[in-house]
Amino acid sequence: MLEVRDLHKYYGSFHAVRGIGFDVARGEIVGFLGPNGAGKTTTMKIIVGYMTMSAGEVRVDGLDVIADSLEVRSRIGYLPENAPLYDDMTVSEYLAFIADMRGLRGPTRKERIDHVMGVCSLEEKRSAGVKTLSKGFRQRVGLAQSIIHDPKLVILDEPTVGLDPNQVVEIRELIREIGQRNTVILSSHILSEVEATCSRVLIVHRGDIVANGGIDELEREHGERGVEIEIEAPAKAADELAAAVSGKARVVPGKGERLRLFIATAESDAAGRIVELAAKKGWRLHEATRRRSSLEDVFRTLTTENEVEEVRTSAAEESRS
Amino acid sequence: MSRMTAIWKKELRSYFNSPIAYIFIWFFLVLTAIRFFYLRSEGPQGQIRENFFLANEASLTSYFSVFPIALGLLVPMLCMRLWPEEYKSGTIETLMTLPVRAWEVVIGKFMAMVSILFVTFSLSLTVPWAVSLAAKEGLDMGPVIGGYLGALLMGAAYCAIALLMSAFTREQVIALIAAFIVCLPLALAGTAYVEGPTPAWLSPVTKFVGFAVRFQSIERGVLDLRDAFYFLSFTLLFVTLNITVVEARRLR
Repeated sequence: MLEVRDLHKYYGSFHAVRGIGFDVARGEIVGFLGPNGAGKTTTMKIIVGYMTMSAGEVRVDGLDVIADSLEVRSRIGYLPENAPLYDDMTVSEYLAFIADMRGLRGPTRKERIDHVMGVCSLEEKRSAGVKTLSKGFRQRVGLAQSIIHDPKLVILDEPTVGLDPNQVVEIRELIREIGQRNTVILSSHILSEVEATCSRVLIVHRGDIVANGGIDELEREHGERGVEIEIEAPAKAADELAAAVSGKARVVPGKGERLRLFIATAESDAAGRIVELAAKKGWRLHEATRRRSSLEDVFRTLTTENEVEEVRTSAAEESRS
Repeated sequence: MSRMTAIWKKELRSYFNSPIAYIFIWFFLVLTAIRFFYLRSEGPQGQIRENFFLANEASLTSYFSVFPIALGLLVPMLCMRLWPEEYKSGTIETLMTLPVRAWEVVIGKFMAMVSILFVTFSLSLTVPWAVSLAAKEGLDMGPVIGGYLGALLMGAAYCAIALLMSAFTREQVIALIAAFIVCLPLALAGTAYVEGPTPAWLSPVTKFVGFAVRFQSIERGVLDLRDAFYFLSFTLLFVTLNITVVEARRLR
């Protein structure tokens, strides 16, 4: 359905996308996950034909996005970030405009407009002015617009940003519904979103893909088993505790004055040993849970450790030059 | 083609949903009518034109003679929203990822501007009608038709360049000012008003380019092919440039 090969994009001298490559098969819902500025939006804009790449190749349904731009655009539905809409139109005028631009005509045109209004629960807002809509409804109009021509590929850039929790749930359900018929790629910097809607995740960091796979798969591959503890102890205790179970400790950010640690270890009796050590040292242990690191941990390790490495290598490069 | 029509309809709706179209039409009609019926003016060659009642002739020459400046002043208003609004609200992203060619978008927008001129000119037909009622010997319709046709050609040329200016900015006010900066000099170039500051070597150029100078024979009702050709190629040039600018945005 979608093939992206060795994609590069420079903004002036800034190398925003550095060799991204991936495939998306028909019927998948793929989450494009990464911190802000990772290159998600740029990649999406290239796929939908809003921008051209500096190097690389993108094919949609076997068609090149540059050479067959119009054909590709007619197969894609796209919701840009923040759902830009024409504020001086009503909802039905807006959808009618998009239907005209999509070349829908006659009975099909009316049928499709009614259909997407139904799917996105927009009937009650049919003749409401777009500028009077709440953020949630704007987002729905944006989604309706993106699927009006029943595209093979739907691309959604941060579809739930700025929505309240109820709206987020509604929009997610809507995306899952769209995903039953169409191939969907959505971007997000929110993990739970991707976990809730996507069958596969691409983690993007600094313009490149650092992980690609199903959510369980990623957790298994990049995740670690370990023990999470909450303890009243000096900060240096972390290393002692980790050494006791021959693992690696990492501070879990949280509130409160107690130290919260995740100690990655393969030992099966880790929790017991930690409790023993704490008792011996007189540290008050408040909680100890065995768990496997979640996608969130995977995401954090992949997008922060690399950062440290990158900073190191670039510093090394600088000192060399 | 149908996509171009969809853009044209969208822009027309947006004109009439906002005050812009009404302000444009009102100002144009009132300014030109006041000037024609009540004020004395100086033509591009410095000739004095009395108002309609004093001039005492059944001719629209002096009515049409304000068109170059009136349009130069007012057409910039029409371009304000067309591109800047798309950029600023981000709708350009949805628009340009629809299966539409750059020329369809540009020409759709351009036609919407010209349509406003068409509506305005149609409403201004009350002036020739009033003149024909007042004149004993009646009004010769030939020059009137020629005058209006010429006015549309000149108006389209103003629209083309104003639209291009607006394609470079996301701020409506800047689009307005930029369009003013090109339209007003175009209106005035080569006329008696600016003879003083124009260096002598530049004078043939300004006389060739200037819209008011070009419009002089048209306002007498003579639509010279050379003038028509000038306005048409001017329009074509700037619409084409606009299409290029829109296409080039993709390559950033």
